[in-house]
Amino acid sequence: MIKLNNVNKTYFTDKIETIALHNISLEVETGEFVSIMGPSGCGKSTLLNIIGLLDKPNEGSITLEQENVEQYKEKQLAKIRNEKIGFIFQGFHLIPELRVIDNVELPLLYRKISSKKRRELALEALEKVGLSARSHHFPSQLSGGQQQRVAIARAITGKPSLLLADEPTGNLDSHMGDEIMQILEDLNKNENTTIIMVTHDDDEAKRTDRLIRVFDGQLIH
Amino acid sequence: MFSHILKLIWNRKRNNALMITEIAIAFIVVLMISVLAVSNYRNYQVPLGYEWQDHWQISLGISGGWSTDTNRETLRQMIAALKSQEAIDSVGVVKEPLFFNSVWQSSTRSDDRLITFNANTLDDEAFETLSVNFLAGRAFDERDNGQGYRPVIVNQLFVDTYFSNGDALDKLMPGDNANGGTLPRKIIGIVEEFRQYGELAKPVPYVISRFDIATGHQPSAIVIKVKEGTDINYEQHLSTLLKGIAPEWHFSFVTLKSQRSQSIENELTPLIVLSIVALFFVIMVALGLFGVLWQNITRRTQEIGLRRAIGASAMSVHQQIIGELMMLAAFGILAGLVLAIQVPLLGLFPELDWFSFWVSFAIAVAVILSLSFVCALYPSKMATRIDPAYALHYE
Ligand SMILES: Nc1ncnc2c1ncn2[C@@H]1O[C@H](COP(=O)(O)OP(=O)(O)OP(=O)(O)O)[C@@H](O)[C@H]1O
Ligand SMILES: [Mg+2]
Repeated sequence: MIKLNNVNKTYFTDKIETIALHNISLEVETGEFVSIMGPSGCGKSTLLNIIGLLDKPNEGSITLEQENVEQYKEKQLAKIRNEKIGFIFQGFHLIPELRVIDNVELPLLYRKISSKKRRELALEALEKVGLSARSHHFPSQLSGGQQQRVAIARAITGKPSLLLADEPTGNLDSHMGDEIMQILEDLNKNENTTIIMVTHDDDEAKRTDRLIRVFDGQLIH
Repeated sequence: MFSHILKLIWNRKRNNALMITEIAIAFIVVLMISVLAVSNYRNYQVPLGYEWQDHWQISLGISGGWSTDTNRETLRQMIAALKSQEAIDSVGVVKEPLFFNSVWQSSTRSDDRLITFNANTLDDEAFETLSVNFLAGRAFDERDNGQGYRPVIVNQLFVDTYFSNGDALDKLMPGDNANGGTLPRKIIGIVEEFRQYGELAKPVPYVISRFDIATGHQPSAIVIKVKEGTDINYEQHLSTLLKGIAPEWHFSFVTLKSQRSQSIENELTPLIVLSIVALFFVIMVALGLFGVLWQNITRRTQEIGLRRAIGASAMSVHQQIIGELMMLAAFGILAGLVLAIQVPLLGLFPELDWFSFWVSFAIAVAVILSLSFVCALYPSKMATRIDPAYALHYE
């Protein structure tokens, strides 16, 4: 599914160089549920951004479904992100002026599908996260857990083959966290969605197929 | 995307209300200027109906009351003296002077219909002096002496307005006082136009009666056609000549050419001043829009980063920002239109016809939309430079 080969990422800001990722090589199979753990600032989000084609590595190559995306143009990358990848960000990043249903529809807006079909798919995704009753609320009218579920619905509405989740349970209590894990596990089992999830929770990591540990921008085995 | 932008705008209505209001006001201002420009232009397109290139207008300051026989005789002598001049081709008398805003309105009742028009009185020769363009009939002459009617000459607009079948020649209309036994008017000629107030005034139904020295009302000017190349120095000679005949009268000489320029200038100056003020106002609004848009992009960094992350291309972000402002502009225009359309609907400004209104509307829409587009260009470009990874990194 995904293959990273000797990926390096360094941020340059105000004369300070931050090596966020150092010589990362990694392979994830289709249908795998992988968790990533590591201390704060070790580069987990950066790794996810690079896998999700949001950021480009300074060195190394990324292969997504046998396609080397190195030379891809901005527009092609946007298309892959839109059709193949679903993101659950560390923050919810819902658009406050849009109702839940419109937030969920957002990725579909950048595809050539009818508004009727968009609505259908968005409702289906909301159904999966158990929030169809809240489809016409605004994000500010929802609890944190509900907002995170909206963010998940938005990530899965386009039926991506790869789901990238950055601490999806980070802001939630353990009960809510469990519900979210349940949703992810169902997606992984029933739809064969490949999932890569950053977490700080050992119990959550144990529920996944494989755990990858990151320390100071490097993988530890 | 259309309905998506609509939702965004609606749900941000509080933020957008001010922008829409600004655009609406700017639209009304631009519309107003366009209306003035378009109606002036359309008026200018209508033929004047007479010649002015080699003509002078001599305003008469008649002392001692016009009605005296001596004054009438003096005018007769003056006309004869002017006609005998080598440099003068033709001499006519007008009651209301040309290229002046000296308006004589009149009306009559015919078959219970109120016929209103602007009026003037010209003598027989004035038509030839001014080369008035006749579409039908003729100018006044001896054939009209001692008849049972009062001859009048009307413009085509008068015919179009009051004779639905277009057949007006030789038709009779009631006299000045329908019950008082004055002679009925008879239309003996139809002229293309006779735009006494100049090219920028709105054409009006116009009726010209015959000036007769013996019985007519006080005329205000003599119009002469001079030979080509006669310069203004000739004025001195004429002044001496006329003073010799009527030492008590006052004369002022003006070429129709300069009087025409003056009347155009009088009409255009306020319009130009208004346009400059409007231009500054519109520039202020444009800068305001630009600023607000810029600020919005900064405020919406996360949202835009998110859109990029979930698959919006730089192009579609670009289009969205421009689309949003265009839609705000459309709302502003709509709001402005709702207000502005009351003017022609309620007839608040009778000079304004629907055609000019809609042409001006189209111009104003084009101006406001292009302005909005230009205002959105840079901020939307800026929006495409937002790096999604960076935008979503910080809470
Ligand atoms: N846009 C950026 N510019 C500069 N430095 C950055 C940028 N993004 C990340 N970094 C730095 O790169 C390193 C890795 O950051 P990253 O966000 O990947 O950490 P993380 O493992 O996700 O941490 P956390 O668990 O707190 O979310 C950090 O030292 C961070 O300061
Ligand atoms: Mg992180």
